[in-house]
Amino acid sequence: MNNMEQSIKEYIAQEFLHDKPNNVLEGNLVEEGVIDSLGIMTLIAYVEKQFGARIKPEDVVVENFESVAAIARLVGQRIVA
Amino acid sequence: MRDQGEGLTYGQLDRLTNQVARALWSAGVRRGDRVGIYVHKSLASIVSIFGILKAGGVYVPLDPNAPPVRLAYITRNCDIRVLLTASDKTGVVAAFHEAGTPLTTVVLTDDEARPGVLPQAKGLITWDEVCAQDERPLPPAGAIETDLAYILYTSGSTGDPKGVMIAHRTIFTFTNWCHETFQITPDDRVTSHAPLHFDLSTFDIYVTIKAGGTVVLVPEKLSIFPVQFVQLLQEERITVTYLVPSILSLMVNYGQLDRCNLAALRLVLFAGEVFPVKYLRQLIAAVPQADYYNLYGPTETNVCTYYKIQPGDLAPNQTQPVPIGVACANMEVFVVDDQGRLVTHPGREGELWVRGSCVAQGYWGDPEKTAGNFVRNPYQPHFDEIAYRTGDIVVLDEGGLNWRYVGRRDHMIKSRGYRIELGEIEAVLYTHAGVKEAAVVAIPDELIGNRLKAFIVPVEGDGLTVKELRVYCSTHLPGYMVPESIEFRPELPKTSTGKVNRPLLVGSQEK
Repeated sequence: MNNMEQSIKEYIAQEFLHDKPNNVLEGNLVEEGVIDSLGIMTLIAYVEKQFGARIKPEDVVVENFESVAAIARLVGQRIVA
Repeated sequence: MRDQGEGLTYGQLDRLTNQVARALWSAGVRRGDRVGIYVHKSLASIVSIFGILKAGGVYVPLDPNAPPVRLAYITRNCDIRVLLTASDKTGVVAAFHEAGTPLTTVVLTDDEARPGVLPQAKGLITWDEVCAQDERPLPPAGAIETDLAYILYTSGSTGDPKGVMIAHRTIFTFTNWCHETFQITPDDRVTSHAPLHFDLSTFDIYVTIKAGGTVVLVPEKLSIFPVQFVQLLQEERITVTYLVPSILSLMVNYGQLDRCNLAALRLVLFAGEVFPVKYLRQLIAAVPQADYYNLYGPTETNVCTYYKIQPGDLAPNQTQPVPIGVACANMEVFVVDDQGRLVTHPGREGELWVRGSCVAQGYWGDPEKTAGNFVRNPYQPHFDEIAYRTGDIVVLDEGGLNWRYVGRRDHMIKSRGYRIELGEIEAVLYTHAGVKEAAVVAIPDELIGNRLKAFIVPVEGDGLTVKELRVYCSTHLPGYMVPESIEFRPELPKTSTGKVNRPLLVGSQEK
């Protein structure tokens, strides 16, 4: 797991995990209810600020937010130099 | 009914709900008995509702994402003995049953039974057993219009949720009014977006079914992603949708409406919170052919006023939110100022009161709270009747016809359309041993209405952490009530009367 994935994971654990066990972070974040409609906006604001990424409206689809790896992949593609 | 490619015809729904009703009857459910529904939005939710009503029962939707402690409270509070649930939820059912509930029977709404995770010694009715029941209707259960149809739990200011009791006539009044006003037909395709424990869901289900239209269920996970939700509106050729403004705002901002063809959409209804005019204007520009209505009403009155959006409401210099409008048919609203006089002049404000069959029967098992808000109507002297005091402050607009929402007279706020009593969150925080003082404030937010922030004075030397406190909150409160941020302070600012100075705390957070 790279640094970006690790940071995203820690952020989600702190902000959205609440009383859910840590291992849900390895599963489907949407199915497990870790990320909801407010959470998605908070998360986008975080990755944009933290990694200098620009998330486009068309990026906000379930496939890009299902797992920590998927989020990191998206952010990696959207970092603006 | 449609749910992600699956569907039920009216004939199938009728037969299936007869079978559910018979299964519930065999489990001892009789007129007036409360039956819980604890499933994610699915065909099973709709089948459960009508199965329970056909058996004469009162349905109680349980938030599928609420913590077990809260579910156990509700189950005890209104004495739910029989619960309809899905096999993937039985682990949580076992967890909240451990916390003490009167449950005697669990009915599964799917056939993926996983034995072993259910509480032992509890009666279990499998889906196979439901489907083995006679398809013919039960004899009428004898429910009449003043019997309860459902109970919705909503945030309570003193720490526990309140169960709002809705009778059949309330839902009849609402359904009939909607059916006539919005001219819903068998050709309409209507989304079901709101969860069942939210009263917006009653429009989607009852009004569409009265008209013989198609209910298209929106899976919870899709509703998080605006692009995919908008795609669903397009692909399912949705004609009518009823949403909270925060979802509509997300659609405007992230839904890429310009790339979609929503030509079939003829009616957009919204309720639950104030819709910022900026986003409403953009939405109407993107989907110009639809009619737009603002509906208003707390859970205790379902919808009691409505307003059709006019072009003038969207003028570029217009910044104030659209009015909540006038009373729906067979209901009356009136406004009482702080001197106890009826408000009849434009520009004057007061508290909105509601009378008529839309008014709920009170809060389950709580005559004290009921008496506080459901009061004898002193403005109608000829006979005894109950009116509901909403606690909402409204003003009569310049034309002297429409009411406009101004604010609350207490600490109730809205976030993403959910109503939240700040006192309920504070009450939970105070139950933590490490908390000396707590104040929760709502920071206004354009997209979602409000964000919650808690200010905490910790007990000295306790070593309390923010993480610990958030976890604590989320084991007692649903997700939408857990403060987004928590700040520790050595003391809280006070007013001259010794109360927490909330405006100062809110002010310290605004940019």
